[in-house]
Amino acid sequence: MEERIVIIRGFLMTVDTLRKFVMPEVIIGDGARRRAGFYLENYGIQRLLLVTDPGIVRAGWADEIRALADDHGVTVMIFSGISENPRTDEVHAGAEIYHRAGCDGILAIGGGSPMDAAKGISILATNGGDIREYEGVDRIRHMGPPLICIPTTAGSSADVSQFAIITDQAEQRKFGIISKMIIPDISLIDPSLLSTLPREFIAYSGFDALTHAIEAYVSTGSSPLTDLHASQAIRLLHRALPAAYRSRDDASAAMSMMLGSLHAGLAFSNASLGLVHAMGHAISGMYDLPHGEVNSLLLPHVIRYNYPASMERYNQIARILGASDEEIQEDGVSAIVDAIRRLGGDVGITGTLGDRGMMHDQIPDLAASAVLDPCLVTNPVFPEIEEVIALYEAAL
Amino acid sequence: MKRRSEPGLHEQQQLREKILGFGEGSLRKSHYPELRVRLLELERFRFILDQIDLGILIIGMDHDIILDCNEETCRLFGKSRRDLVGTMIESHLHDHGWYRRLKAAGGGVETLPYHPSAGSSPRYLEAALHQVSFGGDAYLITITRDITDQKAASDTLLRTKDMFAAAFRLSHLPDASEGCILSEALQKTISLTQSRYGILGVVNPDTRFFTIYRSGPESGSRTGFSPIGKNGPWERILMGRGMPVIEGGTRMDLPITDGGSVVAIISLFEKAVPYDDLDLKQALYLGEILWQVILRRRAEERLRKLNAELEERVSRRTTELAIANSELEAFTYSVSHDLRTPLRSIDGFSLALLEDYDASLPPEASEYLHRIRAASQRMGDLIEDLLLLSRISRKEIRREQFSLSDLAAEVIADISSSEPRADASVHIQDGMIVTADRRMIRIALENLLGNAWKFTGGNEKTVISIGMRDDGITPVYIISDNGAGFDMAYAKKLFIPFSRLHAHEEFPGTGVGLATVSRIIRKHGGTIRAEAAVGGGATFYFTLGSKSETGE
Repeated sequence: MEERIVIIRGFLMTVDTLRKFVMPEVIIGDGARRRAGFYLENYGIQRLLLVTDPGIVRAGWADEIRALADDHGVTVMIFSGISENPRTDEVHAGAEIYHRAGCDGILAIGGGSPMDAAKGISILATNGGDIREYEGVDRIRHMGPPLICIPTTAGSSADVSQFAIITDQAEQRKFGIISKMIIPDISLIDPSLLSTLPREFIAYSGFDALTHAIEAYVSTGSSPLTDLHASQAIRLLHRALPAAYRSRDDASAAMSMMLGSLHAGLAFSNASLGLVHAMGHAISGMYDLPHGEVNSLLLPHVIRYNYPASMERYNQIARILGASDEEIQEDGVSAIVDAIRRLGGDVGITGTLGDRGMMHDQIPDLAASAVLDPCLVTNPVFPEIEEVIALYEAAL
Repeated sequence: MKRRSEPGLHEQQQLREKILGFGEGSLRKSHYPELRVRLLELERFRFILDQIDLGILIIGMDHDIILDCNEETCRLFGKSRRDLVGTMIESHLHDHGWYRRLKAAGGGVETLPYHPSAGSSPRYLEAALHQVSFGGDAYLITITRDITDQKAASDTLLRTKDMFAAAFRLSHLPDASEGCILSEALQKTISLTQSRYGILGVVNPDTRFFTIYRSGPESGSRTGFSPIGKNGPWERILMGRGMPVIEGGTRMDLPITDGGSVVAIISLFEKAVPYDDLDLKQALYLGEILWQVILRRRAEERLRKLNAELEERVSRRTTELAIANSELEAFTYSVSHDLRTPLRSIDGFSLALLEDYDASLPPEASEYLHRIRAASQRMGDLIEDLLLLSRISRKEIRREQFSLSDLAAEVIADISSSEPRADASVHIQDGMIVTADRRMIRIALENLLGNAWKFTGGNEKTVISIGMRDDGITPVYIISDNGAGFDMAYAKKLFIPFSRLHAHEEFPGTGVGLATVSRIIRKHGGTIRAEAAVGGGATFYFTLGSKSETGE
C-alpha cells in the first residue's frame, strides 16, 4: 500500500504539474437573486426554463423570479418536478419541456438537486440523447444554453462546480457527470434565501460544504489556488455553522455560510474530491439520505484511513478547526476527528450510518460501486476494495 | 483478489487530467468557434440574400417597423438600408392599401403598378406577404419582385393572340359588305390598341375623296366622305410616302399601303397610356390583313359576276339548243311518219299491178315492179328504224335491275330461230346483272347481236361471246364475233346514222342500228366503241354508267 502511494505520488509530481482554475461569474450578498432579470437580458434569453423544486415554489421564490422575468419581457416555463435526488427521467422531462417551449436559457433556483437537474437539462438541450450517455468525466462536446444558478442552501455548491450527480432509479445508483462544460454562467448567491431553510438542512448542507473543503484540501489535485479557498471555507464554516444552526435570523452567520460554501465549491470544483464522496455517492444511490448527512458520518473514518498519506494537510485542517498544536502533536488523527465530531455534535449530527438504515449485507455492493467513482483518483490513497468494505463497516 | 474493473495507471492519469480540466472538452470549452461558424453562416446567408433579385423585408408584426431587408429591397425603394431599417414600412409606400390588405388577410400576393420616377413608363411589382414567427415573436416577411418584363411579355402574348383572332375574324366574314368589314376592322384595331376611338379613311379610286368610317363614343359608327385637301395629318401621310405618325402618345396615324401607294389611313385616339411600338405594329398588321381581305373580296366579287354571266350564256344556249333539237326530232318523226303512207301506196299499187297484170306485162316490167317493191320495203325499214331512233331519243330511260345474261340469251334465241344456222356457238357470261332500261337495252342487244349474227353468216362456224370486265367502278360489257369485221379507218363513222361499211347486197341493213345503239348507251350515261379488223371479227365494248350512277 505504501508503495502504491509512492508510485502515484511520484507519478503525479513528475507529470501532473499543471493546474487550472475555472469559476463562474459570481454575485454574492443580500438581494443578489434580484439581479436575475438583468442577467436574463444580458444573455438574450427570451423564453426561460425555470428549474426548481416544490418547496421553492411554495416559498414564493419561483414567482418572484417569474415577476422579474416578466419585467424584462421574458416568458417563463416553470419545471418543478425535481425530487430530493434528481432522477434521469426528471432530467429528460425537463429537456422535453425546454425543447417543446422553444426555450433559450435555464435558471435553477434551489439546493443541489434543481441545480444538478438544470445542468442535465442544459447538456441535453445542445447535445441531445439520454443523460446517462454523459456519465463520467469530460464527455460533453457542446456547451449548453446560458445557465443561471441561485442556490438556496449553503452546501452543494453546484452553482459553481463542474459536477452534476444524477440518480438512475432504474439501476438504483447515482452517477456523476463531471465537466467544465457544465459550470454555470452566473451564480447569484443570496444569503437571505437561507432564512427559510429547516435547521437540520442548515446542518447537513454545512457539513456537505465542510466535506467538500476538506477533501479538496487533501486532494492530490489541489493547488495553491484551491488551497486558499479550501482553507478559507473550513475557517468560515467552522465558525458560522453552529451560529447559523442556532439562529436562522443571524444574517452574518448566513452570509458566512454562503461564502464558506462558495469557497468550498471553488476548491473542490477545481481540485476534485476523494474517498468520502466516492463512498457517499454509492450510499445515496441506494438510500434516500441527505448527501450532507451521509458525508458527515463517513468523514471521520475516511480521515483516519487517509491520514498517514497526507498528515501535514490534515494537521493544518485540525488547526483551522481549533485543535491546539499539543493535541495535534500528541495524536493528529484524533485531533482532527474530534474537532469534526464536536462540530457535528453542535449541529445535531451524531450516531452512525447504521442508525440511518444502512444494511451490512449491502456493503460489498456499495464498496464495488465506490471504487469505480471518479472522485477516487484524487484521494491521497488509492484504496483496495477490502479497505473500502472495512471503512463502510466502521461507519455502520 | 482481482478488482472488478480496476482502472490501470494510465487510465487513472487520464481521468485525473480530465477532472482537473485538461480533458479535450474542457480545454475546448468556448462559444467562440461555434459563434464564428454561425457568424460566417449568417454572412453567407446575407450575401445570398443580397445577390437574389427578390426584395425581402422583415417587418415587426406589432409595430410595422422594418427590421431587416436585403440589397434588392434597397434598389426597389431607391433607398439605403439605413434609411429603411428601423422605420415604419408604410412611410415608404405610395399606396399602403396592399400592405394592410395582405396583413389583414394573414398573407397573400398582389401585383402593384408603380412609377419609379415622374413621367417614366409604369413598372409592376409582385408583392407577397407571409406571417412567420421565430424566437417567440411574430413577423411579416414581404417578398417583392419586379415583374414588369414578365408582365410585358405575357401582355404582348395576349395582345398578339387577340390580334390574330381579330385578323382571323376579319378574313372570315363571307357575307359582309365591304363597309361592314372596314367598320369591323376599325373596331378591332381600336380595341387591340386600347384606344378610345378611331377613324378610318379609304382613298377613293379617283383620289379626290376619302370614304370615312368613324367609330367612337359620340354616335357609334357612321360613314361619310371627306375631300382630300392639302394640309391635314392624313395628307401629310399621303405626301410623306406612308410613314406612320405617333403624336405625343395620344394619337396615332398609320397608313395602309398597296404596292407602295397609300390606299387607306387609320387614326387612333386617346389610349390611357402612350401608344407604343407594339400598338403600331399590331395596327399596321391588322391594316395589312384588312387590305388583303378587301382585295380578295373585290377579286371574288369580279369572279362571281363573270361566272354568273357565263352561266347565263350557257343556259341560254342550252335552251336554244334544246328547242332546236326537239324541233328537229319532231320534224324527223313527222317526216318519217308521213312518209309511210305514200310509201305503202307505192308498194301496194306495185303489188296490185303484179298480181292483176303480171301475165300481160313484159317480164322486164315485172322485174322493175319487183325492184320498186324491194326499194319501197327497204325504205319502209329505214323509216321504221328512223322512227325507233327518234322515239328512243325522246324517251326518258327507266332503270330497273335485270340480268343482262338472261336478256342476251333471249335475244340470241329469237335471232337463231328466225335465221337458224348449223354451226354456231354463243358464249354468254353468267350473272351479269345491270340496272338499266330493259326495253332499250333489248333493242341495243338486238342490234349488236343481230349484227354479230349477220356478219358471221359467211363463216363456216359462228362464234359469238357476250361477257363483261369489271374494274369495280364501271363494268364494261363486251360482245365479240368472228365475223367479217371492218376497217378501223372507218370506225368513227360506225355510230353515225346511215353510215354503212358494207354493201347492202353483201350484208343488208339500214345503217341506223348502231346509231340507235349508241343513242341508247349514251342515254344511260355510257360509252361504246368497237375494235375490228377486216375478216378478223369485231368486238364492241360498252358501259352503262358507273356503279355509283346506276346505284349498284
